[in-house]
Amino acid sequence: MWLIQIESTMMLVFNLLTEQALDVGTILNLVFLVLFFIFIVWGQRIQMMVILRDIEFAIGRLKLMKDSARNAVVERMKKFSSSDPSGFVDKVIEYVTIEPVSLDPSGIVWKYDYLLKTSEDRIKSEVYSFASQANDEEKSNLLNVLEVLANLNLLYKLMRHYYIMGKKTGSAFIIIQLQAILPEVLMNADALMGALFAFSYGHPVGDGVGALVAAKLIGNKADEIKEVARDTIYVETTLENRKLGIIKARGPGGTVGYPGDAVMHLLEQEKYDLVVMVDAGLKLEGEKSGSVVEGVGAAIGGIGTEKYKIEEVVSKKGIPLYGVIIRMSMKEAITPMTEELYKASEQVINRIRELIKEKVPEGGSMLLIGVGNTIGIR
Amino acid sequence: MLKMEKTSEKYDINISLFFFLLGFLLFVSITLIFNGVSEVSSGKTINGIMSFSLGILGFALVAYNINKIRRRLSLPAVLSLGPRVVTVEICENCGYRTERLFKEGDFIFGRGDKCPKCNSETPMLIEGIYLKKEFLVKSQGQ
Repeated sequence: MWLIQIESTMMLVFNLLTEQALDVGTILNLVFLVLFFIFIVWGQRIQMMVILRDIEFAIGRLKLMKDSARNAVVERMKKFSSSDPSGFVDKVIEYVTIEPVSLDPSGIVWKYDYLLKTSEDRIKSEVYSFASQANDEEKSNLLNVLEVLANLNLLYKLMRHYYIMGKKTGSAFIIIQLQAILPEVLMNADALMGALFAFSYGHPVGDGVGALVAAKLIGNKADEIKEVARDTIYVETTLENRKLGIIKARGPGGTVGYPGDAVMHLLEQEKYDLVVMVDAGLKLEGEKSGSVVEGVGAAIGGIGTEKYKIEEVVSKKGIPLYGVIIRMSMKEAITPMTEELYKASEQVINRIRELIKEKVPEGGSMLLIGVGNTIGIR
Repeated sequence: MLKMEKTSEKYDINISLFFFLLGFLLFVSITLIFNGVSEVSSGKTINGIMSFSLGILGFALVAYNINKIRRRLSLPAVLSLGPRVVTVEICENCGYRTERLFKEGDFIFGRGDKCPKCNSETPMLIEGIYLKKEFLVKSQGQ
């Protein structure tokens, strides 16, 4: 019935336009007059409708990405478990870590540290028992994959929340803010899809360039590694006639380890003349990927607990703390490591050689921390 | 709870109306283009040009929107990254260096394939794994 109605309306429009029932000029004048009043009265509402439509499509795309990522993770997990992982995946990606109260901020870092470790333990134990047929590296990678999926899921839910809020309240401010962040959100979602691919197959990611520098400096001393903190290793070697202690996360599974705990443990026992941290850092648009910059301070990201521990211990001991940063975009940091970033690791090693010669006296010692996710790097 | 679910459903993304409007605009645009051409040929040049221009404008709007939807609803080409991730191996015995597609289980400073040059008992050392700018093998999958 409605098809006939549509057809008859279309025929009417066709006749009006073709059979010269009305002059086209007159029609256009009428149209412009009507449009003028429409825009005067409902201009903002129409603009909001256009923006909302844009947001709708973005949310549609995010949903498509989230669903295909979830299906990919479920398929991946089927390889390591006899039971259907769908329910398990849906449950794990909804896990939340409740932030500690900050009314009295004293000691909050240790509360955060404790909660983060408890949260990691819980997810780890569940994933490890579910994917019992996977080896240790695969289990670590699965944890990373689930984390990426959880982030993608959160991104989708947040966008949907503000979209519905904007639509419900009709607030132009909510809708315009949402539209403003839309390109960045979609770029991040694209990066997360790339990360899912990298973590599924165990490719080294851009963020791992700090760990790569550490692994290269460890060289053939790999048999002498000691675990000094959870998922974090320490190796002692020599460089330019100086003692070099190296800390990095335990590879090749996907983990960032706990370099803060490792530094606290080591500096309590041994004396170092210099601490150098190597990490990936976000570049500004226009900066070259793989460019190396230096500075002073703890070069480490994350929630801040590891940074706090390192700053606390080096400031108490009065040890200079230097940072070497390899610039990259957000996408490059979580997707497979590019050739430029891989080559930048050699540049960093040369700079470390120069630093140890310049700042550490012969016979002295330096502690190098290779920060970042060590996936795909021993 | 039920109420909340219903509210969410109300705001679920429904693009069928949008496609219908696009279809209608396309119909009007095509009609205007034909009308414009026929008016120009019958001597009403001004009316014909206006009608034709309006039709082209409508047509461009439809094409722009369809292209926008296509871009928004397409997944990023992450799967095409596969043939670009390479593993660089070096033989510690003879120094032979080779580059091949990444295989699951490869990791930097792990052991790779046997050296095809000297057939050394020790497999080659994986020196690097990275994403190349150009595709290494176009037709192969992961």
